[in-house]
Amino acid sequence: MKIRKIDRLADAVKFYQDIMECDEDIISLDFSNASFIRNNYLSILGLALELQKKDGKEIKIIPPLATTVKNSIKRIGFLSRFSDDSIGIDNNNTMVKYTHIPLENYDQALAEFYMYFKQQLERKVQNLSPELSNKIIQKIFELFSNVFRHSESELGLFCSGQFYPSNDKFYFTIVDGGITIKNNVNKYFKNKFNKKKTLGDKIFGTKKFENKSGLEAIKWSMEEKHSTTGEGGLGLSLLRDLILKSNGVLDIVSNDGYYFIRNNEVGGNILSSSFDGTIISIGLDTDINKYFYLVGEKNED
Amino acid sequence: MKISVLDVIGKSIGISTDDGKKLNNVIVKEIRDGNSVEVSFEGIDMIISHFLNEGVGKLYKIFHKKDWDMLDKGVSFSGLSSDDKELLLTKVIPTSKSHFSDEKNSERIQKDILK
Repeated sequence: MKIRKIDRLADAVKFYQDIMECDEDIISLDFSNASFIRNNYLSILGLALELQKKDGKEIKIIPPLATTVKNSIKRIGFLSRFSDDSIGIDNNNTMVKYTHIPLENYDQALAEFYMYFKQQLERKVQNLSPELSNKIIQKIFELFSNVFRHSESELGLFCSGQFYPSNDKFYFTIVDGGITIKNNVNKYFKNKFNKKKTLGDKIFGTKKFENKSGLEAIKWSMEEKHSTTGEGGLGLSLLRDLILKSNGVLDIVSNDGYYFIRNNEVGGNILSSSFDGTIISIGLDTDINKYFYLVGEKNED
Repeated sequence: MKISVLDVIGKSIGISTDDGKKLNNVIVKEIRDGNSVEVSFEGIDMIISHFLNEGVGKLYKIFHKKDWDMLDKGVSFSGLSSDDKELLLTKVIPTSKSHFSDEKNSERIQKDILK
């Protein structure tokens, strides 16, 4: 499988599908002619590779010939995960390293990742007030927690991210191969529906449950108080508001749902083929000339 | 009785179900012993709603509705940021009360139907 470029989410999802559909005993990813890899999307490829490894497949990575591209996927820790290559030193601290947090004992791994992630975010994203930065980290970890509690993803969670100082952007992607937002939300509504059914409904089958589409399910779960556990939502509403105000980017793919925010507009589609899991990808503007803080917080600038 | 969350969970972030349950167990024990409780979050860097739900919200599942007023008066919180305090007092606790109140109602309705 030749990989020349991963720039857009669609590129990463296509390679995810190619890896998952590969029925060879050895899955070979040939990056030799790769000209650009957006490293935050490597978490998506990582999930596919780990799923295939779990099924007994062998993974072979042919590294990029271009030194900058090779160093980049070395520094994020992707190359060393799937080859004998050593991890590269991230001198400029521009990476949020490729991380796989398995379901088993996720508690300790998440605690360690928190310290690392907070340090990286605070180093590189300096246009957020400390309070807003803390809240964003908190919301991201609410998401992580949701993955471990709801997704039933045996492999847990994968994440990776990168800061691009030249154009003041930070991109970060988390992915799991679990139950998906659509199935989770529909399970919740079906339970509610069944509880409300009268004896007459049960006998005559007069009312039928209607599933929400993947997109409807994502939209429902984005609202602040909506939750399938009675605990208060996915924690995405603050991120959504920041992204809308700061010209950031948000992409969520879950099952057949695709929800996005781009150019300050919210949109979405129902996909023709489903993704067996959930991808949440966040892009923040890190331009220090634009300072963001919470309403009610004192702006000292 | 002052309960240090940091001492109970042994780390500075409250994320997991298990840590929430540890906190919950300690609070429940003190209340059952007849003590009022101050839950101190000093030294905690970050907490998420799930942890608060397990640690504090579930108190409203464990204790009967007639004891909820005693819980509201007998359990206090310190060392929380204003946002987290707001999260706890305006979301976690009210959502738990509503959830566990509804849960009991729906269980009762189901039992009535099955009679």
